[in-house]
Amino acid sequence: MYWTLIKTGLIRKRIRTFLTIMSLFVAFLLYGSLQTFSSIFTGSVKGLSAQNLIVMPRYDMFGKLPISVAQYVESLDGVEDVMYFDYLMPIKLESMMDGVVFASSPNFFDIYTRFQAPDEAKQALKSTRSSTIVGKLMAEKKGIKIGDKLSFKSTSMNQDGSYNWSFDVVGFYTVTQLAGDEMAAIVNYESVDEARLSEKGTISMIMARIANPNMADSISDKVDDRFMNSSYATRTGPESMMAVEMASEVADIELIMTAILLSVFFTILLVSANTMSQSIRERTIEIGVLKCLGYKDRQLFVSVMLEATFLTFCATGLGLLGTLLLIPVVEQLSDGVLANTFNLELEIIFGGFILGLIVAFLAASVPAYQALTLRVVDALRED
Amino acid sequence: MINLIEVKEVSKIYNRGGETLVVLDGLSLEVPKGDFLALMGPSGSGKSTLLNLISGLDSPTSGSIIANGKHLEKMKSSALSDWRAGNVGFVFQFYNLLPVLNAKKNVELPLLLTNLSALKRKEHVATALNLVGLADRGDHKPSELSGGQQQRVAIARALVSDPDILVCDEPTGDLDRESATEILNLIQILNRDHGKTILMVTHDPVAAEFSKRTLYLDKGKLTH
Repeated sequence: MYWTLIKTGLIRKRIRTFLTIMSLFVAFLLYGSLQTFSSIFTGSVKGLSAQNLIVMPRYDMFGKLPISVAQYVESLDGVEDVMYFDYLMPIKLESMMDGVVFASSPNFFDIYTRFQAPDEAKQALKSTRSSTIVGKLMAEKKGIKIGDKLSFKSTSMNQDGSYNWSFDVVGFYTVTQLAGDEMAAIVNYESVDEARLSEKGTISMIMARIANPNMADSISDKVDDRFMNSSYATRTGPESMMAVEMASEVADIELIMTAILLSVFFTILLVSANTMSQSIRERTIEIGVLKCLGYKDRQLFVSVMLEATFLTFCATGLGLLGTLLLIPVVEQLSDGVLANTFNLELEIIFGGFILGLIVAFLAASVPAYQALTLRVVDALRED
Repeated sequence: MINLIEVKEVSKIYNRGGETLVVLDGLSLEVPKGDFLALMGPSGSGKSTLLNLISGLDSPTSGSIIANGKHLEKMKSSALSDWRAGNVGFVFQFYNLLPVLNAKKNVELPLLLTNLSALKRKEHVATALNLVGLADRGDHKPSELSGGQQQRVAIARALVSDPDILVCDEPTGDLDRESATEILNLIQILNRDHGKTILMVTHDPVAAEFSKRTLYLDKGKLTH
């Protein structure tokens, strides 16, 4: 019975039904896309560890810390191992590098388990000071092979007075999340520090593996308190949180996204409610006739609510399907940098349908109530 | 003869804008089972209001209405809906078919409230359409049918759940004479051959001649 009533309402004005679904579709496409792609802006990327603490300069993302900070962190209770690195920034236009070079302590891959490389390459990085392990994505883009020389100009001056740097490619690494992290190369910190003429003994970032994620706050506080009043104030926190914090310093993206979504849904809600009201007003006589035939007030109320729910669920499904189709497009447009980064998570799908249900309920409650309370004699008087 | 409908001292009073409007004034009426009653009278005389009360669409201000053994004035809205579904078929002046549904689906509408299987519903619809002579037009939408054919579909919809009472409000008011005569003949057959009790409101004396008896209303009272 309900399906016949719903179908009757939907096909009564096909173009209006189509346009209503399309307007709702745009809203749900926006919802799905913002939820799915927001991690780029918010830094809330899955796969980042809560067991790795990052220690970095407090006031300048690309500032420097003395290597003694790493030694202090390593000495703290609860810290199992410490890795540190400095950025060797290539000058992009005169470089075979499009990414960054990490001049790292030898245990880079031991701590940063998101990065994976063959054992022999890791061994070579430790034993041969001129070696480098290159990100797979960059190697593919630049056609770099094992045995090649990775040469580039950097902003750091070499001991020969030039800005030229060169390393032997001993292997490639991959990452489990954020393919963009494969646009880099790992080199030996000691060899870089020895060779450069300035900023010797400094590092850009420390990553400490802690025994228990619950100790993250206390260790972070201890490190930051220790260097609070020095020239090298630090900022410490779990890897999974630091990215979010850093992104939020640019702007409260989460708030902006919520505001956009609320605005869109409020507008769509008004449009849908108006459309449903108009549709029910036009069906006054039909509703009266159905009541004559024995249809109960409650049944007609439910049928209007179900009709609105069907409309919004169609739009929700289409919007989420659109999001699903957008994912490979965005990944393609990013030239592989964002490959395997996005998923239409189950919670986003579930959230979309809950949102659809709320929109349907709010949009249809007044028209459904009108249908519920419509007196047959009044309805037929309009005949 | 057994009375199918008994209207006792029924009044219907509206209060509009502080003004009291007496539409029915202590009216009493008995309709035996199998009757074909035409109600005539000037506009505003209370014909349609009486029809609405007898068919359980409205409730009286005072008095009682017993139809098929039920006191309609004591029944709640939901119970009245059930009662209408099983006991009354409606035929309107402007047919009031759902424009997006074809004739079969329109006729099937009352059956969707029953527990009948889809197959049984299909059989009932075919029987009803056959009875009104539209067996071959079941797949047509109302817009593809003439006025007379649409009214036949409406009659089939009124009959499909086999009610005892058929309420017809100006059933020929929107039809030409030829179609009107066909419809009135059909209603007469339903009364004569199928035992339906028919209450028909009409302004048309020719239409009233098809009934077994005619009552006249004026200012909320039966005059003769």
